[in-house]
Amino acid sequence: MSEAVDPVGNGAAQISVSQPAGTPMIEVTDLVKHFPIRSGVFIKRTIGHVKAVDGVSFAVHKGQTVALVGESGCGKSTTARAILRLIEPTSGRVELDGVDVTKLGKEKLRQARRDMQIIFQDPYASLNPRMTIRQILSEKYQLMGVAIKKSTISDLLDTVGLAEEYADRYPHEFSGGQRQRIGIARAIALNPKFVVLDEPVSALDVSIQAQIVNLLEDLQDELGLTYLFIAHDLSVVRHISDRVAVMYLGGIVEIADRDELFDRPHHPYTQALISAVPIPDPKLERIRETIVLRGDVPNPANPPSGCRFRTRCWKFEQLSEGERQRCIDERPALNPVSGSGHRAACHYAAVREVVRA
Amino acid sequence: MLRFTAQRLTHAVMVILVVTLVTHIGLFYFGDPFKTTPDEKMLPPETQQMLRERFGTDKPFLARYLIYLKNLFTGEFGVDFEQRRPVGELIAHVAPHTAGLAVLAILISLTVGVLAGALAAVRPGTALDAVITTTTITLLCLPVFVVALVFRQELSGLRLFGVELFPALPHAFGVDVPWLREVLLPAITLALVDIAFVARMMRASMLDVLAADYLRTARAKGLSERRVVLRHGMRNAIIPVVNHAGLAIGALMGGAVIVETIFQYDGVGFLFIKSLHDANRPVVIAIALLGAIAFVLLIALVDLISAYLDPRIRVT
Amino acid sequence: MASVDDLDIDLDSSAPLLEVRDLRVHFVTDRGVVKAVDGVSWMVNEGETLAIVGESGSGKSVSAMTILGLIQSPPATFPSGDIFLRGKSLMKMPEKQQRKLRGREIAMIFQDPLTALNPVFRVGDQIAEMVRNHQKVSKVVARRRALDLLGEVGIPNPAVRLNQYPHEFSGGMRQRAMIAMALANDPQVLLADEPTTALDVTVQAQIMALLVKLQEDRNTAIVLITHDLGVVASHADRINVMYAGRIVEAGTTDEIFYEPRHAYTFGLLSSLARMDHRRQERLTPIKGVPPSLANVPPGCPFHPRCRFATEACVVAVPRLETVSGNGHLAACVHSDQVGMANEERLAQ
Repeated sequence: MSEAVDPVGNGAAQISVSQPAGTPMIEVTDLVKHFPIRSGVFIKRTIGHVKAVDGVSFAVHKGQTVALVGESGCGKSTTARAILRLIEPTSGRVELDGVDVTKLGKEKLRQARRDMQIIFQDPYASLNPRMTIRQILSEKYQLMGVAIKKSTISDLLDTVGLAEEYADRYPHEFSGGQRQRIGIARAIALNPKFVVLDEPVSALDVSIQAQIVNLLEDLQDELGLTYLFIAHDLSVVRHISDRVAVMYLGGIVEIADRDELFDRPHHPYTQALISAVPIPDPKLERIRETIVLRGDVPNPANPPSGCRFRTRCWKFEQLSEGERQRCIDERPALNPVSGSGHRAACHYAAVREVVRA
Repeated sequence: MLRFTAQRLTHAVMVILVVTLVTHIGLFYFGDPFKTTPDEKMLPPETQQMLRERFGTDKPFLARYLIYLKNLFTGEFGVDFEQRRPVGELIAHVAPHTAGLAVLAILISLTVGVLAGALAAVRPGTALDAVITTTTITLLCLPVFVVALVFRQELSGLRLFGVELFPALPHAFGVDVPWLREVLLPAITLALVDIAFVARMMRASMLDVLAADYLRTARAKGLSERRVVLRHGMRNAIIPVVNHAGLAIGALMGGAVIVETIFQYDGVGFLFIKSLHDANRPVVIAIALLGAIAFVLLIALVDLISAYLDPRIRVT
Repeated sequence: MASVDDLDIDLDSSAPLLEVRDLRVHFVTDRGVVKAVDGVSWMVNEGETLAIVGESGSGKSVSAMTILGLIQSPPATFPSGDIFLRGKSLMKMPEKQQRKLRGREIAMIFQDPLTALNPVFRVGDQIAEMVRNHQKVSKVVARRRALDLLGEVGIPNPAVRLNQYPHEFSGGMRQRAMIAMALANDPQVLLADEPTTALDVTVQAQIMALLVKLQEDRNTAIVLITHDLGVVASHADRINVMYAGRIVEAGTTDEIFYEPRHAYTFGLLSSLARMDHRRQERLTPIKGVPPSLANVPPGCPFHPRCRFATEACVVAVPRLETVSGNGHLAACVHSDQVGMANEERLAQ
């Protein structure tokens, strides 16, 4: 099940990101998170579950960036939070550098948290407005019982490109980009091994996004960080990731190395998703075809039988009666579709060029 | 909406049952409710026996409880210690007065409060707003009994242009004061503090709503400013005020007791105080129980009105 | 069908459909004068899509809302400028007449459809209100029209949806309902303020496809206000790039993307991460932050962040001048240098 075990020499035809042998930094196995739905006139009973995350498995190697992409309700944010145990997983295993964090008790978990951090999307909501920057950052050290030297805070701010004098100001005095830098500083303060980035640049202006993306990459190189990047902006994903997993309605429908996913997507949803992203190139846009999906995302409390995507799938329309039945009856597994760690969960997966056509 | 109503009413009924159960246990489990203590007036033994039969004191628990409930429904609360009249009748005689007082007080406080709050919100920062804000803060600081005492002292028997606005207290013997004149001053007193709450809440709510995106959309439709504020704005702004009304009911009931007593207004509150004073236990208990039931039902009503106004509440 | 005749406003059909001329919108605040829009001119005709591109604080939304008279004044002041609908001045028009045009000749859709729709009224009623406000029809007819509109924008089960509340719709459907409402009176101009920013990308594609179809059917002029250059590349005919309350470059879509001549446009395009490119080593950001509109830098507002900036850029505000072709304008002293830098970038 581990993505680390890939036969060397596969997919030699194209450049693939090397899959080093050895323990991945993060290994997620069959992660499940169900939210109960309670209803009733007087006594509330559990009448069903929202299957927010329904069996997700992937690995992230040290120093790599894996992106989880998908649209609202696909479960990517829930997955990230469940990995960090900010939400308790219903079942499944999450191994951080070999240690199963889902089994850790309170105290050990607190210590493990030193190694796994998160940067949030909304730089306005994630900083306590009543604390100065110095207080926000110092709190990190105090919580973990690490001593602060005179220069600690200013060095930290320097790392993220902020001047020392900003330390005694309050969050509302800063712009969105600066606040995000503070959020980043807070996350890397204790030299974690693994950082979850939950849409870190979506709320920022376009001209600032590039600054922050560069900062994140520089930090990754300098500090040897491992990133799990949650995003819906595929352009940024293509730039920053090594590997990409596409999620739909609680499950991974395709996972591959970056260029492989964008240039040769195999799952109909991935293809529709990529084709829907407009590219800032008018001539290209004029010749590109957009696959427009019908309808809305189904209710995660009541997903379709078999393949969850079949109710909106453009390929389903083109299939024969017998083939369609298979989609209705049998939930497709994440199977390899072309070499070097490329898998898709589709019975009829086939490549389709959607970026340039 | 129907589903929500059914749910809410079921809840209310459940709560009422629990209240009656607790009262029942309190009454019948800890001795005989009809046997009076030396401090209280004595009930003659035949009356006590009749009451015991009527309430099935010798029967097993469940039967007794059910009889108790049945009696509750039919207004049978036993007999009072003072004059041996049926308690139910006593209460029924004064209840309409209190109901009238409460309704009038709510009407006054809502109308004045909503208008004042809306005006202050539509003209923020002006002299009008300042006046309304300071007045409401002042009103909030005044306890209701102070207001009642002052009003009774200064305003009863007040004559304006030769017309007596508020009847003089205590009532002159033999003079029959029409109800509407009698209830006016107590209602104003009761409403006064709540006006302050409503006005402030309405102001805050209205300020939020005036900045809302959907008002901008309404203007973009070309609707007149009046329609935008009145139809689109007020309808949303009033929702928190209605929610507040639920809380106000409790304050209203407490306030009614004080106001009625001070103005010697012949209502349930006044009866309650008199009965406490006279150690007339059956009346006190009956009023307390009925008060609790009324409270639960009124809260449920407020919830239903809230849900009607705000469809988002209906999704439970 | 709404007819312009019963508006009794005489419109000049040879004049451009919608024209903004030297518009200035300044807000007086305790921080000083905030120059949200500072001398903006553009026009749009039927069947065209004009995109106004800018980041937060560029003034793009304020300029659109001024067209519909949605900017409260005070605290806003309009030191100069005017807006013309077929030659007739909107700003000089009495409020009552302006209201007749709002939602009828010119309609607007907003960014967040959840907050833009009134949560306590049914969707069908809100659309019907739009109809009845401008046409003398009965409630029944108005509801019928609302039903037809919901169907036209692709909402399944419109009869059921008509009686539902906004919170019972999904995000994409809410935006469709907003579009239905905006089109209820067959407006000639549709102002769309970040219509897809709050939506998922596949839903965004659906909504943009819908707008395209509606434009083809009705020949509506669309003014698309957005910060998303991808959407603009695929849907705009012409583009105005705004920065700090001014238009810094204007041209056709191809001109802006392939021949940018203002340093800001160039910087913006260079800083984008591209889904169609194999990975670059580093992105090329624009350094610094956009200025506060209460404190716009002297001369060219972009100069503190500009790699081409010289003394000449601080001295005076550069004027919008033709840089190539017909109608390709840029307000940049160094437009030639930008052009050359762009050639280099494209060559890579």
